Amino acid sequence: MDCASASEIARAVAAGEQSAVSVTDAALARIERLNPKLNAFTDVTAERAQAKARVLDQTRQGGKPLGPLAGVPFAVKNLFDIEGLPTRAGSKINRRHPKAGRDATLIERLEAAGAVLVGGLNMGEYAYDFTGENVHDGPSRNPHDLSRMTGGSSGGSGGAVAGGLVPLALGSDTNGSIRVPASFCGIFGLKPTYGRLSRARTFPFVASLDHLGPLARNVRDLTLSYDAMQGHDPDDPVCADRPHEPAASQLGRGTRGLRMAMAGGYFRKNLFGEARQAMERVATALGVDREIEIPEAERARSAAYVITATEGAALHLERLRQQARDFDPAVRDRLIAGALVPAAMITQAQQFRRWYRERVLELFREVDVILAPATPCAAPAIGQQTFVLDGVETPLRPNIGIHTQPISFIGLPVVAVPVPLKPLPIAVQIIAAPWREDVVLRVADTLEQSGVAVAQQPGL
Amino acid sequence: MTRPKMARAARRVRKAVAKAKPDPLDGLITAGAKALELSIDKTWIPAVRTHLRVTLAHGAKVAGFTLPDGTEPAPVFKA
Repeated sequence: MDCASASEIARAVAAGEQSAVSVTDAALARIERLNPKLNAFTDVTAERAQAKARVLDQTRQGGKPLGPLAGVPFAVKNLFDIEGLPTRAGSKINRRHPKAGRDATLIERLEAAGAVLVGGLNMGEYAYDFTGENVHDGPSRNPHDLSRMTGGSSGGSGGAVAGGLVPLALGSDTNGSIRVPASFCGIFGLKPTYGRLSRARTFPFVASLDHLGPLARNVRDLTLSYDAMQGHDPDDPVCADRPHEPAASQLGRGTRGLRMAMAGGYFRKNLFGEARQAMERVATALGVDREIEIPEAERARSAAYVITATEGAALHLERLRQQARDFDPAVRDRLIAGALVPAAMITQAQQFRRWYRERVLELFREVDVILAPATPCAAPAIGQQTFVLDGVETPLRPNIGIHTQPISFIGLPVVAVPVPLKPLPIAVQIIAAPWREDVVLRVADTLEQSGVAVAQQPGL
Repeated sequence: MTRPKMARAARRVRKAVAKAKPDPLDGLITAGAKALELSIDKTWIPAVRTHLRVTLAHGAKVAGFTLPDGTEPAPVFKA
C-alpha cells in the first residue's frame, strides 16, 4: 500500500485485508529506501512501531474494534517528546538532554486511535526557521525537486508526507512552520486555533504563538487525525477546555452558505507569479470575487516578529550564555539580537495584538472565510539566501512567512491547500474565525474534490 | 564548509570588524551583553547588529501605532 492514504490503510487494517505489521514493515522499508534522498527522518522507531503493530493485529484477531487510524504509520517533528529519545528540537545542544520519559500528548492520542509512530523528523534548529535547513542534521529535501527547500521549520514533516514515507506527520507552527512546508512540498497542512490542540511534552519556541497540527496528502486524513487529537489537556495550560468538536462529518457539505473573500492590501503584495496564479485558481473555483482588507496586517507581522525574537531569546538565554558556540550561527545571532530588544517594545507588541485581534474578529461578522497566499513563492533552492520581493532584494530566511505571520499572530485556524502548479506546487491559506476548523476543512475538501487543490505524487 | 575555509572566513570577518566604523547600535550590544552576561564573539557582531536593526525597525513600526492607554497586553493570548 505504498502511498496509500491514512483512511485507506485504516479501513484495510480494520477489515483484516492488510495486517498492521505488513503496513508498518512497508513504511519502514520505504523510509529506508527514500530517506537517504530526502533526509526527512532523524530517528526511526522501528522496534516500537513493530511492537505496536503486533498489538493491533492481535486486538483485531481477538474481535475487538480498532480505532479510526488503525495501523496508520505517522511521524513527528523532533520537538515532540518520544519516550526513550532525547527531544532534540533540531539542535545539537538538546540531543545531550536526558531521554524523554513519556510521549507528547498528541502522540498518545494518535496511538490511542490506532496509529503507529515510526519516528522523529528533521526540523530547523529550535523551530526558528522557514527553510527546512539544519546545520547539524543537513537540510530536509523537497520530494518534488531534491535541490529545493522543503520549507520549515517542520521541514522533515513536509518531506516525509509529500515523499510518501508516511501518510501523516505532525509539525509545529509558530509563525508559519506547518503552512510553509505544506506550500513548498505541495501537501495539506492544518494549523488549528491557538489552544485547540495540546502542546504538552513538546519543546517550545514562542509560548504565546506556538501551535501544533497535522500535515497530510488529503483533507480526510488531515481531518481524521485532527479529530483524534482534540480534547482538553491539563498538562498544557493554554489548551482550551472545549467540547470535542469533530470536523469529519462536515466534509462533503460543499461551500454553500459560506461567505468568502480574498485578503487584499498587504496580502496582494510581495508575491511571485505562481502565488498570484494559485490565489486566482482557488478564488475562481470557489466563486470568490470579493476582497476585504485585514487592517494593519503589516504591523501585525512586525509585532509577531518582535514577540518571536524576544520570547525565543528569553527561552534560550541560559543556553546562549553557556553554549553559544553549539547553536546554528544563523539562529544564535537572531536570538542574541532578540535578547537586546527593549522591553517596552515587547509590551507594545502584545498590546497591539489585543487591538488587532478585535479588529480582525469584526471582519468575521461579514465573512466566514478569508483566502490569502501561504508563501510569496514556490520552493527556493537549498542554500538560497535572498529573493526579490516587489523589486527589492530581501533576505529569504526571515521573510518566507510574511503572509502567514499576521494570521497565526492571533491564533486563527488555517488549512494550507496545495495548488499543483508546474514545475512546483504552492499553497493558499484558507482562514476562518477562532474554533471554526470545521469551516476551513470543509472548504479545503471542496477544493480537493474539484481537483483545484491536490497533493501530487512526486517522481521519486 | 571545511575547517580551513571556516577559519579563513572567520579571519576575514575579524579584519572587517576591526576596520569597520563604530555603529550606534554597538553601544546597545555591548551594554546589553554585559547586563545579560552574554559573551558575544567579535565575529558575530555584524550579524547580531543586522538582526537587531531589523527587529528594532519592526518594534518601531508597532510603536508608531497609537493605542488607548487602557489596551490590555496579550502575553498569554486567547483566540
